[in-house]
Amino acid sequence: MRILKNIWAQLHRFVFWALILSVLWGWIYTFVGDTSREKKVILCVDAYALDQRGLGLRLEEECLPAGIKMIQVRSFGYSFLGTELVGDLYLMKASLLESTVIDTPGTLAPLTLPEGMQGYEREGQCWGILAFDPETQRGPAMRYIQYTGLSEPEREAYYLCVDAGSPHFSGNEGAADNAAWEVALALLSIDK
Amino acid sequence: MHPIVELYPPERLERLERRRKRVRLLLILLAAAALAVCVVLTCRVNTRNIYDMLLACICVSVGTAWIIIYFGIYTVRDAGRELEHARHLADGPRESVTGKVTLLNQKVRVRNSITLRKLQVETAKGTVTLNIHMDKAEALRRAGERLTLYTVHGYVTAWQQAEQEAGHADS
Repeated sequence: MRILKNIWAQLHRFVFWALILSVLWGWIYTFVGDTSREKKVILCVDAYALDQRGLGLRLEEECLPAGIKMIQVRSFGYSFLGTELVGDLYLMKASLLESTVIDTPGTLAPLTLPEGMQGYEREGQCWGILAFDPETQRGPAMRYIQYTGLSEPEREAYYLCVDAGSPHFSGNEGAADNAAWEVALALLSIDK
Repeated sequence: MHPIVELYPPERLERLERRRKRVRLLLILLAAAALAVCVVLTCRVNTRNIYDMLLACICVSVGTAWIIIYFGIYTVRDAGRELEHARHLADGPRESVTGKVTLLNQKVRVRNSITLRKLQVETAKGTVTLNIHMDKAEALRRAGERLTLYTVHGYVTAWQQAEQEAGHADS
């Protein structure tokens, strides 16, 4: 009884330190759980729902290119393009891809389409690989990515694109490796 | 003659001091061990277990912090305050008062010191109000009604059961 009374008297201190330590460890782990830009490939996905951790782990299982320690999956929207929150790969809707190619040229890298794959072409260049086909309703990693919205009857295609400034794509100037492309191919093969 | 019961006997103060130092050392060791565990957990982080390790670190550090807060306050700090109080009273002039003792339900919380309880002594000359360490007040209640209290600066430092016929105050 006395112990409970003592605990009750110091409850504010217990709660305060629990909060402080939780925030502190969360902050520390943002650094611990991250690595430098050179050692990670960032995949940005513009989907209705996304299991970031699950997809990241699956991609690391499927393919972790040499020199890469982490594959980070992020949720993103159009507003992120051109900011510092850039990724190496983007999985985006056809409408967003189109406006990106037209409105912000130089954001995405032109691709050489692998055989047997469809892509988004404009001005004689391919800017994205078809990932989700609305007609067949098939796409890669559907366990982790929700391509269609429940309230939206209109379904859009999704394309996988590469950032023009990515240091992990050999098509870009000064690229260190081709890890982003390897990850892209691995993503396209998941559950397909 | 009844024996005088000292509330702050030197051997008890020594024991308290030893206990305080021992607990303080244990708490420091506990903090160091918790930090070491957290460092080890953090070093073992990978993409798969990062959230488990984060949770483990939070649990270890919060649990340790709670233990340190509890024993730091109720053992180390309180013992330190009691020792400080006892040292303050050790060199003061000792007086005595005899009469019917009534413990009041009035607590006095002195900032950065011990918690006291008020008591009244009805003597032949009138009523005297004194202070006693909160934890030692109950022993006084069990001792009986008529007591001789030894005080320093208005704080009770010892007591003695008074003889029935000695019904007047010494001071």
